[in-house]
Amino acid sequence: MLFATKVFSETALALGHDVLGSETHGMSQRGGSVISHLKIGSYESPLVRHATADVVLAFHPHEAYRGLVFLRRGGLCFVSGPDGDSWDRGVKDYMAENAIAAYVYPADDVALEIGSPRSANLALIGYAMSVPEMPFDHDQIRATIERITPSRFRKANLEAFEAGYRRKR
Amino acid sequence: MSQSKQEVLLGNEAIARGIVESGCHVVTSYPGTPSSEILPAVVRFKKELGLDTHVEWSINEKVAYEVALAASYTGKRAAVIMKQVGLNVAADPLMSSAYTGVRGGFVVISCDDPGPHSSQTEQDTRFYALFAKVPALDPSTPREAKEMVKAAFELSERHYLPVILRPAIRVSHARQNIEFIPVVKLQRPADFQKDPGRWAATPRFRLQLHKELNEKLHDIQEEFETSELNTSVPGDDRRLGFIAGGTSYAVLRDTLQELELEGRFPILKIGTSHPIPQRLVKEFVAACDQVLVLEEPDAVIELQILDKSKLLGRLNGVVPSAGELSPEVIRQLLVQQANELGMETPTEIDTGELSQLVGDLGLPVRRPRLCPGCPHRAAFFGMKRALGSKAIYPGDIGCYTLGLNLNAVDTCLDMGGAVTIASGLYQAYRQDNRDVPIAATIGDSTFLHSGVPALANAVYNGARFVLVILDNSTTAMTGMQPTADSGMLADGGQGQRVAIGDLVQACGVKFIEEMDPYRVQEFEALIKRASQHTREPDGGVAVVIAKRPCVLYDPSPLEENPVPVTISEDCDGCRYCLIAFECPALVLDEDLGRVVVDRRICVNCGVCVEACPKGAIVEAEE
Ligand code: SF4
Ligand code: SF4
Repeated sequence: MLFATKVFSETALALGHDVLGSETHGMSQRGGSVISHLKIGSYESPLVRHATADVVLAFHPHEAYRGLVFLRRGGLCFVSGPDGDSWDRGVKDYMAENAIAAYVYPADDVALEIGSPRSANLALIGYAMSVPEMPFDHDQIRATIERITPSRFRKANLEAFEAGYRRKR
Repeated sequence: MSQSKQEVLLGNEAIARGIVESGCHVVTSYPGTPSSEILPAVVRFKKELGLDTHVEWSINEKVAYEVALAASYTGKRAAVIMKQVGLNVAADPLMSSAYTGVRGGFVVISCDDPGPHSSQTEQDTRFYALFAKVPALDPSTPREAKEMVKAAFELSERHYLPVILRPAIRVSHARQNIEFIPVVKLQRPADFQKDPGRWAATPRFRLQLHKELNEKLHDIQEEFETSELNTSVPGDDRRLGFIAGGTSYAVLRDTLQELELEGRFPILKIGTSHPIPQRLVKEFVAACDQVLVLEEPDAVIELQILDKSKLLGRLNGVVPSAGELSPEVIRQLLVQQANELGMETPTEIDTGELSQLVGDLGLPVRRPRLCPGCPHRAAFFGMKRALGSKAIYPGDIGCYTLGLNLNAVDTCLDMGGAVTIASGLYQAYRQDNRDVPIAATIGDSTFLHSGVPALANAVYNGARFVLVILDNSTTAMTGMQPTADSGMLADGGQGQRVAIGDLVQACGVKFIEEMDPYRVQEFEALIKRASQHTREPDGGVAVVIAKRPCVLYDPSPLEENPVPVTISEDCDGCRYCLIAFECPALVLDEDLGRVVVDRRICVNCGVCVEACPKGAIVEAEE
């Protein structure tokens, strides 16, 4: 999760943007859900307010439900979860009303299949990058992953990212 | 954008960078969320730059404060780092050193935790600045925090006073791109100049020092009237103005922008929360019809403003008086004020409806729990089995406060409180001739922090209880800082080990036994024997050292000797293990109607074999 945030913040920095974000430490880390915020551009506060985020990346369907509250009208939500439409009806209506586009992608399974279960987050990021509305492009994100992944995970991370980007199922 | 090196740093790392760039010679700390990452980052920069900065994890905050203070007596620059409740422990030297003053720049970094996220109170460090009569600086962002560290050292050296830097959690745990600038190398050979009227002042001299302190504070206030630490943002609509500091200022700026109100109302940002620039504030307030004061976690600026007739804040209930001033809270305050002025704000999605929907889904709320394989769980389980639920279990501050979930922690007051509360409970029941078993738990680092005097006191005054020292070889809660018992130093070097067992013995305890709590049955028997000792005619406090490294800190024993478990057909899904043992790796499979092991997080500790009364959890066949 922190690594996923780092992929975006390092990309932004490399392209000359300011970044500001927030993360959880201490007691709240022992279990509980961990949320990491990231703002790119000129900001003062590291927290993203409810109803203002452009993108939410959720690495579990439950986290998607919890994270939706941060999305603005027209925002994007990427969820790592099993294929098939399992959204709660009411929540689905809420997303439709507010033009929130939700993409569910089985990142865990895909990562497992290519033999790098630890890189599931990267598969979800890859998938997200295949959507044109996302900030940055494939090459920029790929370059960051190459640069910041420790060498022994590099191959796995890149493979997972590419599999996601190709929307491999 | 400039060409110099930039890195995305945690606020605490930015502060560390500021400390190092200021040429600070001595840095001390006791870990505590949200301050714990500062000292390790100082170590990082020290190593990268080949500096000989003295860094230490001290035994507690009072000790840390005094060690750093003495370095300042010799003319060196020094910083001491802690969380806000740590400053309670260091309040004694803080008050006194305000009188004696300092020589080399001396900065006290005390991180606040509005929320609170990881603390026992939401107290405001800045009140200590008022109390001790020393200046306090309040950064809004990591970048500003780094700048303020430098400003604090310079201020301290101009006025020979300790200066408090108060980052709140949203600064400490924010991440921002930070520019590195070259480090100042300050040549300051240690040179303690004897001046008994100051450094050893008796009450007669103290009166003089108090007068001197008042003058210093007066001068500092004058300086703050024109300081760059206080800035303003112009705005033509003077029906409303804002006075804000710290994190609240940052949230205010972003929220005004989101509400398309940026640049409309004037803002006075107060970076010097104490003393506030009184004239500047007065002029600002005079120019506005009303002024909303935003600061966290308490009304420190607001209280200092002399004429409060135009203020909207915590004192008149406009701003909530507990909890974090989150972006949502600040937005609501702004929308309300805008509406009162007859202004429209952009509409947004109403997330209330969503919260309702998501709430109705009944998603599992994962409360904080001890990790799979945590030795504390084994110890608590053995204790409960030995002494039952009639015993009283005073607890303490650390990961093991989560023994709460297992009903094995009945009190949690402050650092070291387990030992003193146990003593007091014993004395209260003894007075009525009642024999209630008392079993206290305290972690290794917490015991060293303030359990030792408490234990000496208990022995001296004849208290009787079982004290279980949960020794997992590290300060786990705050990120695995080494303890004196390990002998490892803050920068990875080897120091002299101070053994917990020796300290317990030196406190006069007659019953001391150490055991691995994973051996649940033997551990249970040991607790029974310990409890028996507290009842014997010549008995007293019995100390059990539950020794086993934290599974996150040192997983090697489990990797070498895994005890994989499996759950047999005998499980009837009674949930006993889920409630009384609560290993996150044991989960109820609703479809099967029984418990299964989540292999992804199970660490093969094998302790849960003891947790099922029906014997359904068994060691797996190889
Ligand atoms: S494993 Fe034992 S304690 Fe846990 S639910 Fe099954 S029968 Fe009950
Ligand atoms: S062996 Fe049992 S107690 Fe240990 S981690 Fe696995 S499920 Fe939890």
